[in-house]
Amino acid sequence: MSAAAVQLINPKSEVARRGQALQLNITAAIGLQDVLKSNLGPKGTIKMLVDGAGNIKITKDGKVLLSEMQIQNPTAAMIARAATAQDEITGDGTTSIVLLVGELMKQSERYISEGLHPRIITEGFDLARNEALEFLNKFKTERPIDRELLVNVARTSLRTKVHTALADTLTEAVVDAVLTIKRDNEPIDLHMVEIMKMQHKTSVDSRLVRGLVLDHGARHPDMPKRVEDAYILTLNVSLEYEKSEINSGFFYSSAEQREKLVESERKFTDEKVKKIVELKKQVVGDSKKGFVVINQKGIDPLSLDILCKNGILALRRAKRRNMERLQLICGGTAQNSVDDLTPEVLGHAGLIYEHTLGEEKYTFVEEVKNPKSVTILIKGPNTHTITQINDAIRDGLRAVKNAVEDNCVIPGAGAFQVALCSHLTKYKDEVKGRAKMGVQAFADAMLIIPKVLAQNGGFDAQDTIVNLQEEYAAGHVVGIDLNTGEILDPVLEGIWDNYRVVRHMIHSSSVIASNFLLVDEMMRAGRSSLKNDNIQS
Amino acid sequence: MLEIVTLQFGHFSNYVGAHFWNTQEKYFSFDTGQHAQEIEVLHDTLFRAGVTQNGIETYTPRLMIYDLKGGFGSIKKMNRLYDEISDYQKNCNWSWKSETYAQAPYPKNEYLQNLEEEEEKGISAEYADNMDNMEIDSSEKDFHLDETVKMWSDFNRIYYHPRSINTISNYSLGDDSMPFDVFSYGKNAYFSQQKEEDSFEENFRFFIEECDAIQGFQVMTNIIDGFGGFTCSFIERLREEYPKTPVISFGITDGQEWSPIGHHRYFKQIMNSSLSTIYLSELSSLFIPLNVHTNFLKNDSTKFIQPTINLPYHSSCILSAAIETSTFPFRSRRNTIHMHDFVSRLNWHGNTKIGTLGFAFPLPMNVHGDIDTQTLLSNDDRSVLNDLSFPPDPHTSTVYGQSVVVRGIPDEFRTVSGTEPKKSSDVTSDIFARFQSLGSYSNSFFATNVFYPIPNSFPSIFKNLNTDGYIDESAKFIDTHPIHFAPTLSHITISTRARKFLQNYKTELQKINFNFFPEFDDGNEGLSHDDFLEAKELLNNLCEVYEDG
Repeated sequence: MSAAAVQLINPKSEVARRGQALQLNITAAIGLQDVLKSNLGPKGTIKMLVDGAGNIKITKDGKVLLSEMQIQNPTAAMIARAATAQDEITGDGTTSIVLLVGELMKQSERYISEGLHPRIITEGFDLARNEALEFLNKFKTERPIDRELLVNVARTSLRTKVHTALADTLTEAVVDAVLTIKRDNEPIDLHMVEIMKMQHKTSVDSRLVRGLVLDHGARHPDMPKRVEDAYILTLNVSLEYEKSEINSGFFYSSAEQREKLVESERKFTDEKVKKIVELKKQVVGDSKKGFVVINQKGIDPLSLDILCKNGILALRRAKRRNMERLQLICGGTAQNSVDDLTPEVLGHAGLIYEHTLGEEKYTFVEEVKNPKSVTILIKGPNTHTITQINDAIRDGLRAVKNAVEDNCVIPGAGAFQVALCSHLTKYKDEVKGRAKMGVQAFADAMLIIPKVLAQNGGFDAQDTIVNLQEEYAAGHVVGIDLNTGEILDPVLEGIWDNYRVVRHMIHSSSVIASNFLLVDEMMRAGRSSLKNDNIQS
Repeated sequence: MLEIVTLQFGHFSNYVGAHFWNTQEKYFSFDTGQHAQEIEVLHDTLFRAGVTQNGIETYTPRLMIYDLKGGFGSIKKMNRLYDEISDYQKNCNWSWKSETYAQAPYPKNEYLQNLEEEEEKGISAEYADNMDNMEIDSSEKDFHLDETVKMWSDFNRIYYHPRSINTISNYSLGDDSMPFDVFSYGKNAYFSQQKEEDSFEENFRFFIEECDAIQGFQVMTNIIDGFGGFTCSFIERLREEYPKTPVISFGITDGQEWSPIGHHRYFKQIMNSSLSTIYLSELSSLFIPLNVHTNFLKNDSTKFIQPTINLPYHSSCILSAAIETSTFPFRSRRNTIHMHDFVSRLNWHGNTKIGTLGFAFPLPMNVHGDIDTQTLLSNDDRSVLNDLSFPPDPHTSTVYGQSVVVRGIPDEFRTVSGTEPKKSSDVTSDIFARFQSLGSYSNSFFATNVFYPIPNSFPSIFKNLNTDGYIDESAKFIDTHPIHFAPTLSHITISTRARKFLQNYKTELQKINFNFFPEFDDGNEGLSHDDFLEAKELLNNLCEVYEDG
């Protein structure tokens, strides 16, 4: 439909054509780039967002920022959506994608204003992208993925999200969490890392618990607060008296009859509790061992009382996801019924204890043999700090997982982008025709990453780039030292990026940018035009 | 103790909820105040006692509130009770540069400012002693709430537990470029919310875990927009953990939101409402649609109330009072009706779950207890009972079950000179006899002397009533004197009338070509064409359930 036709149908519609449309897209992409620029790298600024009610959010994470900002511009919103999708797939790289898209558009603008058709540019982009991905495969460092390397990967990721001191305390927890849950020849399931948040006025040390932390405690005042050397029974069985359909008001004629029904219901529940008590007596006997019940369903006060009298610590309404974790941590098998309880279904833990903070109770299940699931305990003085640490840990876990699964890493600190730029510049000579310029635009755009890293560190971007390029030409793989502004060897310093993050970044940024470059008409049509044509006649 | 956990989904439902909780707070003051009788209301049913990290004791609702970003107005997740150290720089010895992006604080209207001032005073003075005086002070003032209420937070009186405040952060309130107006958006939003924050396990479970003998859940949800889908997914999850626990759902619609019939948006709203009705009625033990429709207040109840129906602040207060009244038996100290019994008396069939709620607000009665029971049922202009669920229907219907709650009947009325004063049983037996005449298969009648309390956050809509809510013809116009209480009557019925209500959806759905609504097939939880056909089939089956005979 031509522009005139749209306006004929709906006089309220607005149409932007060719150059104008392109200009709008470029402006939007660069605008978004400006917003996120200052986030990048360990020296990026942190953003504090305060909403109308005074709720605070502190973040440095591009993905969090993009989802918090209410982006009105459609182009910017689409870039944001594509960039956050990257986060979902790889766990990182949102800010970089936004920067790259903006820069790709900006570099193209120059050529387009000189009369080059956007189609030619995107052809160049395609060539450059394929070449870049191949180059990435050559550039990647394949080395044994040992703990030391993973610590470096985690540190690189975490330092871009939280301040250095905090990042360093989290690094080892994150790596050890992934290493604990990793099974040979199986994909890593990060759900097996429970993240527990604890708000604590003074303590700020988050740590790894080789076991499980539950956010509830016993609901009976006389139950023990600390149990050692205990059997663990994981249950999904209701231990509360539930009204059944039959004993509702409508079906019985006398109060007596009702009483009887209630009594038989109660008996039914008590029977279930008794079976648990019997199992406890069977396995514990006269020994000093403990017995703990963790139930996904409810346990009512009368049942709690029976359990308590028999020296059993019982927790009710455990999270569904913890049922699986408990089995991985303590062993044993979760039971959906109390009919076939045998000692084999029981797990074991060396220490179970309760910790109370205000109205919040926590139960720690620790000292377990060979856990296949762990908990990272986040402590922070307030909710926004906890949220920020939580986001960082999530990204850190993803980074470690990626490195293990990729079985390789990429030297960070801008080293790859500098190398890629120079590689593509050489590659350009092999390309025939005007698509060359697209390749050059692509190559130049890559430098935005080291440039912004330098700027955020307070150094001159040009100086830094020149330094880096000269060093690279001399045959060294170098990145920026953000403390001095000089160059460093990322391999030596242990600054590593994820292979799949970089790969995805190259891929999606060029695809998004190409799409926007090829837009040659934009229409905004009022809703009124679309209204009456949707009903079947 | 028989706890109830309340769930609120959507902005308009939160208006209704805010009135509901303000009313609950009002009970606290007259328990200790001048009406010092025995405490008639079991507050612990709806509220929980807690303690903050700073050692402050709290008493907050067992409640989950869901709203869009920006939908909470000035309500902060960590409110004053839970105030935390927010000076982050001090705590983290941050070595970073930081930038602050602050939105302008949401303006607090005069009412909220006054509320804060009172609280300051209350904290500095002896709290308990001054409470009653304060109540009177502020209730005399006019805060122009009709003009200044823009959101439900603008008249909200109480503090919520931080875990009660849950934001659907992918959507913003009033954002036209990305409206939350499709059932499937709601379903998708539920799953992304669970992935990001898992409010079901982290927050909802928190309120449940501490319950010793949960009675049931009461749900107030929007159904005209995306919240219907959100709620369906939430209740589905809830049913996995609590298959037998009663769930009473109120599907609430602000009549003002309906687009003109025939518009694209209208059909979206029809789809949202009917899909929500189909699935929520299946998931709930009882589903009651509530709607302030155009026929509302075309009868004699206008002698006593005159709300401005196009203000959500006004329309929600009536729905809220109706919900409050009809659910009162669950938390009454005397003659408590367990939610489970309540439900099974109404829906003894097992599959007739869609009910209608009628409400007399106020129940017109003078100080001597004179009441014209004829006006409680008749479907004409003389009726004072407003049907909040279904449009009026002149045809007679078969009633399967009904529940009548009458409030504000004192043990003994004032005497007319020379005669015996009327007793409460005289009045209630007349009323119940009237409802008995409907020939329902199952009846549940409940009467209490507890009036519906009217907090000062309530809109001034009453006329011809004295301060206790009895008819007083001398007060001709919308009064200048505050009304503290009102007698009310609610009437829930399960009847064959549901059929006509469902058939209306059926007819409208027939007009829809699903291919023109690709937004319903959006995302992982989108509705395919087959799903849509299946929903229509379910609706057909639902209609048949309410077939006569």
